[in-house]
Amino acid sequence: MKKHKKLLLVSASPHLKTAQATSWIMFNVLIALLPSFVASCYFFGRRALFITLISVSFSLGFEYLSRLMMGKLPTVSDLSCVVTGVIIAFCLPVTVPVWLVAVANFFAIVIVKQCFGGIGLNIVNPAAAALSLLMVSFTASMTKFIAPLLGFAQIIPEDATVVTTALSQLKASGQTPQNLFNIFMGNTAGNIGETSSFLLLIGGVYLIVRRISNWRIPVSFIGTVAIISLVKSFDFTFMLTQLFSGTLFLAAFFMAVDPVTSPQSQSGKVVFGVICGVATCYIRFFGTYTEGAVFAVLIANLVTPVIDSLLPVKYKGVRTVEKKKLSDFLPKRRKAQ
Amino acid sequence: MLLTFRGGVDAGNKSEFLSGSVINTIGAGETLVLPVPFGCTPVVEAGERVLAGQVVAVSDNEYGASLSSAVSGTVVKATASRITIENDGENTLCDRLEADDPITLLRDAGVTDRFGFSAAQKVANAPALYIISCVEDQPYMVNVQALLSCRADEFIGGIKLLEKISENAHIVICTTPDLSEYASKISEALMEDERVQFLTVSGKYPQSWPHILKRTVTTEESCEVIGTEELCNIYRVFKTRMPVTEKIVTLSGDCMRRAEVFSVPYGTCVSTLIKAGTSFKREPLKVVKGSVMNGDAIYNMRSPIDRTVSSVLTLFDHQHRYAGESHCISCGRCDNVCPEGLSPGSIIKAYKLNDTATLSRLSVSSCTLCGCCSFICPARVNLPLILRSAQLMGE
Ligand code: SF4
Ligand code: SF4
Repeated sequence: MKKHKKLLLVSASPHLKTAQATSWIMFNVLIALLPSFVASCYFFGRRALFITLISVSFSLGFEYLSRLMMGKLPTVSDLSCVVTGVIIAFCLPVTVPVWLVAVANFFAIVIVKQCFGGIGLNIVNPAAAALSLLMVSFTASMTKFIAPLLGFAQIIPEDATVVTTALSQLKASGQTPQNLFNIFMGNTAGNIGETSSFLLLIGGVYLIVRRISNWRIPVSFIGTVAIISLVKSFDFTFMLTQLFSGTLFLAAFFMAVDPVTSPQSQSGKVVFGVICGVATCYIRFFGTYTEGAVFAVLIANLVTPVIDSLLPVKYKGVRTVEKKKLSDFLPKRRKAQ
Repeated sequence: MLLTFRGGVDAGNKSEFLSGSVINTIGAGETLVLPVPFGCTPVVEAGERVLAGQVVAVSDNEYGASLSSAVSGTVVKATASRITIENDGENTLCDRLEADDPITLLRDAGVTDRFGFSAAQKVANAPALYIISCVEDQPYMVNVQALLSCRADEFIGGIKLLEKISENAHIVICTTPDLSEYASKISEALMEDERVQFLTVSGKYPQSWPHILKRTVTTEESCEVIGTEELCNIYRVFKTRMPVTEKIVTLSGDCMRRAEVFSVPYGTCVSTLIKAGTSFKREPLKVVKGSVMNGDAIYNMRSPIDRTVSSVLTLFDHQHRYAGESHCISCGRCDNVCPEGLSPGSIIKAYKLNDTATLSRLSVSSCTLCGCCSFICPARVNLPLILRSAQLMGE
């Protein structure tokens, strides 16, 4: 062994950390979003791929530049901005102009996330906030839906007609869609990545199984919407259309579960999900907008501190899995004998 | 059946003690620096001549144990915290320990566990149950493995001795699944013994901590945990009637091809041990005295090894660096792994708000600073550092 010329590194213990860093979590979220991404490229053609990639580039660029300007260490490598970029793209119609994608990512990354201090310090979900901004300010661009193109190489035809989503049909005329299966699988008009509830469900379940997101929020969120819809209409088709159409699954499995902006305690998470569900239904049934899931997440994010103070995390105390008294050791019959 | 506790982390097994390897002995260097253990007072003065095995510091209370010099020589310096001894190379032994009473003998011999608690006191408590901890729960450390493979006879002798000293006590030997090979050999030797039982416990960190092991195994109040090395030392003391002056230390880490185990005289400095290592493959970036989960990173290679140091690790991997520490993302993983049932994530939030009421409601004082939460944290937050400050704030 040579003599140490270099100075040794000193730090507090532990000197070993899990490989499951924030970037690992975010990478898994991206994996969970992958099926919907592939499907969206099939349903809406090349431009869906283009919009998603451009959205991710904007979010990466804004994250990098804003950290640089603030003189802070770069955090691009934690991939959280990539997730934000993908989710924003997924909630935009495929006809959206590129500048609007830039506006959304700027608002999400720079204003909502970095101005509050970056990852872990934002008070609302960046994607939900940016999408709400777009929906309020640029409603016309945000509702120009086209029918699915069905083909990876398809480009949007010049004469593409603007169609309505199943949800707005339901709202306008009370008419439930013919083919619920198509809507569940994603073959319907809507935003880029939100149409296929089936694939989003697979992604969401993947995250829950890998213990990356907590099941309480999506279950209570979607459950509340289901119950309220059923009570309102006493009609299963109506309820299922409410569930499978619109942004509900994307919001429930990928925005509401964001741990930074949801309550800490397990009971708080359930309450959070219920608030999301109630707000979604309120906006859908009584508001002017046809879709309310993203607004609902935003509202619930803002209520989170209140939930946290009313339902705080408790000291769990020590619990042993198995308890043995001395008497268990007394009868001396070893199994091997 | 695998017994376990709630929480804890699986830090993985990153080093192996090759079967057939030996426990190497390191000769005492020119000077030995003995840190005076907490709660002990030096009984020698500068200029005094000491013999090998002579007591140089005694414990003020019954939980600690006295400390003996590993060599004969002259005391150069003796302060309340350190005793420096110049080795005269002659290794003149002091008189054998005379005491007949086992408790006095163990106390004079300074047998302790790796936390510095006296074995004599454990025996004096006359527990109804002894738990022998043959648990390896951290990466890189192979002390137990080495002892069970090289000193199995001493281990078995120690068990027999314990049975003789404490007549009514039962003994439970806890091993982890990856030590089953060694455990089966020992259980063959103790087959006939009615008072000894074997249990397999999980290898999750911090399974080897006495209070966790107790919690895993039994609800019995009157029980004492005895470490593998401690047991071997008890046997040695009864056999040789000489005090314990050496510590089994693993030299390992990702800068080495394999783990090496040494028997090191108390007071040897870390650099001497590292020089004795033979399987280095690269220069370490960090040297850790103690275990990877809660050892201290040292900057001074002359730092001495005492009876609480079970391993010296030479680390390189970038994973060990600070890089990537961000703000807590509230993921709740730390809450899931805390063996004490705490919510470290909420504690650090309350700490940042100076909220002492919440801190005490969250029972911050029960934190043992084990480091599980920090291990699992995806945002790389250094929780124990903050938790310690929070404890001080809560007091
Ligand atoms: S360091 Fe404290 S809070 Fe963290 S896991 Fe250990 S006991 Fe729990
Ligand atoms: S593990 Fe780390 S990021 Fe997750 S809640 Fe605990 S401190 Fe926060």
